[in-house]
Amino acid sequence: MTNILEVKGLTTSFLRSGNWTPVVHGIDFQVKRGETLAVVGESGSGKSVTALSVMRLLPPRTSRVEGSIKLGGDELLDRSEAEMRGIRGNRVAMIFQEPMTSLNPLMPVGEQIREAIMLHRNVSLAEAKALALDMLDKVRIPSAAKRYGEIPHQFSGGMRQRVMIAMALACKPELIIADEPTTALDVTIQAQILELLRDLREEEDMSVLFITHDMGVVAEIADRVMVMQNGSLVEEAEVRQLFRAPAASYTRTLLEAVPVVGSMAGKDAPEAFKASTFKVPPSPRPAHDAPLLDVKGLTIRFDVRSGLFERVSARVHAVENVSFSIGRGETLALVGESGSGKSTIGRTLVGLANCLRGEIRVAGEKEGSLCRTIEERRQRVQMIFQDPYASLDPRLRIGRALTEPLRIRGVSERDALEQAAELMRLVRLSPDMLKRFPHEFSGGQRQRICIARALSVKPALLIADEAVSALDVSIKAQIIDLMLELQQELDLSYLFISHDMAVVERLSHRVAVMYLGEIVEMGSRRNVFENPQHPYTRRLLQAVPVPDPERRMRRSLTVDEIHSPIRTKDFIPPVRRMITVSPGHVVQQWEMA
Amino acid sequence: MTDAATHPTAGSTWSRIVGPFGKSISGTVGAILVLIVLVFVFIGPLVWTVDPNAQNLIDSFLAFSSAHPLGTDDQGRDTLARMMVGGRTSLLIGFGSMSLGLVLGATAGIVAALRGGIAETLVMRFVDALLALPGIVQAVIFAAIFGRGLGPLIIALGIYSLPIFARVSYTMTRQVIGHDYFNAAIILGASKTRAVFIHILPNIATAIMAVATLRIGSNILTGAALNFFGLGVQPPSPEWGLMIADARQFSWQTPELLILPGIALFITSIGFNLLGDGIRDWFDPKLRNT
Repeated sequence: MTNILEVKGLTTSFLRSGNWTPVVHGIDFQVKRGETLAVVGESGSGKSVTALSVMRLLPPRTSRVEGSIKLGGDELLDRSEAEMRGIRGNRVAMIFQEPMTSLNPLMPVGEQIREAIMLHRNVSLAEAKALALDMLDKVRIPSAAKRYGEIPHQFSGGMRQRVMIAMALACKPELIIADEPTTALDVTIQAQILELLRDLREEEDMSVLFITHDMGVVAEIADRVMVMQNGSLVEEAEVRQLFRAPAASYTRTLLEAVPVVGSMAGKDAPEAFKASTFKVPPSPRPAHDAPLLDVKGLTIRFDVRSGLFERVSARVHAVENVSFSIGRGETLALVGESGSGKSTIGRTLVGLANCLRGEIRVAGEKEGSLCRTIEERRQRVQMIFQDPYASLDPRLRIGRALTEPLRIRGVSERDALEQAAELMRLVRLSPDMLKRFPHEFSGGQRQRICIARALSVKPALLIADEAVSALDVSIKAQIIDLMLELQQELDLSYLFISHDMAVVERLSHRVAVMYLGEIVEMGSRRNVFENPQHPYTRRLLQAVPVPDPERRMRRSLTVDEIHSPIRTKDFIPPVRRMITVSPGHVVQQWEMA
Repeated sequence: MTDAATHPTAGSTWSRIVGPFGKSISGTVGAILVLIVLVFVFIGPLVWTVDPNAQNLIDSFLAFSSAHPLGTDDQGRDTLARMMVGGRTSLLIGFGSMSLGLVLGATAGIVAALRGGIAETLVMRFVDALLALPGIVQAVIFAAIFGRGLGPLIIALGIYSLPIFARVSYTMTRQVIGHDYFNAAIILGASKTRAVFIHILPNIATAIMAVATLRIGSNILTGAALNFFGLGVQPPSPEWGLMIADARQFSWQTPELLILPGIALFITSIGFNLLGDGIRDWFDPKLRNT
């Protein structure tokens, strides 16, 4: 096989406060014809910079690319910017993470592809249109001819990414660079796009440089893998080889930290990644019987207003008649894809969103239909958020951030500082760090601080809204371990809101699967994962990429989209019935398709 | 993670204040110009102790000399002394009206952003309506409403500056509210008022400071224009705009009487403008690393 791309001694440096700082340190790699090379690494590993260097898309004034980048034998580093414009999109195409920002929002998608074709190919308008339509067909967009004239926002995220792929393929490039193309997509949609890319690779014999942080995706799509860390090449190997016998210790750590769906089969209790850190192993069932949190018939709707007089034109049925309970020391995971209403439930429990009806009761509270938050609950229910960068005030020292909730409650400054030091030790950070500002911490440390802050008021229930989703794999594992340890030490209950099935399998006792605002299946983690009943649960579990190339399987190529919970004003939700499969395992009745 | 690149650099207070200005040339130039004006206006009269209002018709229209370094005007008053003392009035107008606009505007903007609903609609539509009128027209209308004199002029210019502060604080507050640290504070039991002082004000202060600095300059100019039209400070008190108005009729014989306060206005307004730009650059994360 011939090499399409040959990179030798690639060093990329950025100008930072007057000095050239290298971020990619002399790496060599090749992409052969018809091959998919995955570049994998954590944030800051230089994988995206490598891709941008190949495309020569870095700002020339503040960056420097050295070495040799040969595309089909031509040296790209010697090309002028004008020549590069003829190469980009023509001989090398790129697919980005966020399709919405890569497409022109005002131009019909078909026209955007046609324009790309006419820019590089000497064809007539009619021929280009026909070619563009062919491409939309090729990426399996249903009724492509009809959708040719639609603009990007009329497409769903997955469909938009298909359009991006169609555009990238339009000029039959020798190489496609895909930078985290499925990271922003829901897991069932990600599975479709990966499947599509695999099919297209065979049909078109295309070569792909695939950049990702997700070992599961690597196992699904790659022929060869290149592992990067801090701008250096750690290991390069054939995909099976890499997963079976990783040579570098960094690769091994990376692989060990990846949660794998199914790895917990046969186990009842949650399990930490580093089992040795536990004083007492987690128990399969919480010790107490009385539920800590009881939610009954929770319904949350938002009005969609439009027009001159802001009249209600439609309604988002975010959460529809949801009931669940959480025991003391228990973790209930709420899983689902975007628009399923899982985050809305979390926000309502802490009073950030209002509910229409339903009853929320925390143990110890007085009787009453408490759809609204009361101050008492604020202390017992706390929340940690997804983005550790946005959850800490950049202008507040950590000490201040941790003592603030106590000061509100009238604790003196000295006592509050003592407690803050104690909280820092609780989340395994040094109390010396209290004087620092948030930006002096890494993402993982910040998330620890957020946990400490939430624990400052001694809550009984902690809501974690995608709390580990934005973190790198190794950090993710550490935070999960910390959460499990804290649960043991403090008898905490968690409502763990996540789209990540593998993480959920690790740390939950019970799981509730949500789809379009409703719980479609709920039961013990073991029952739901090992004996899923509802078709949606099955689809969700099947869609999760498995970080094991031996278990790579073909899925049927579907174009199902996730439906929207926006309904007309007069929509009346159907009454659902729950079927009990086994004690504690319920599933919503569904129509056979 | 490149967190250090996207957040304000923390260090000693001194390096936080002075350090960034080394990188912003316009900010440095602006700061120097403003400093020169401040020294001229506030220290100057202590050194040059001539009475700015002492008339002596025999000495009218004198050229530059050691007794009168910048000459005298039609009534024999010392131009240098009048420039110095007049500058105080100009700066008072600029600073006073800016402060008034800032307090009223920022309060309105923050309250609108926090409360939402009808308060938001009312405040922001009112602000939009004010922004739709040309600045000088607004200033003239308010000056006409509040009457003549220094106090009414400051109030008129203050209200005229309200919309920009309301807009900026509204937008910035919305941004802070969108961050999860604000949500976390509310969940942890902070009242809205407490959240304003601990989270909102510190995070919007820098943007407001940049606007405020720009606003001092433009309010001095607008104030001078109103004084020129006789809508503000009344003679014989010296003020740069008024001095230009007085000198108008002698512009052929003694153009320096017109030009000197003009230069003073020019230096002051360009100084504050550059300083405002510098403050904005200083806090713009995109410019920090270059």
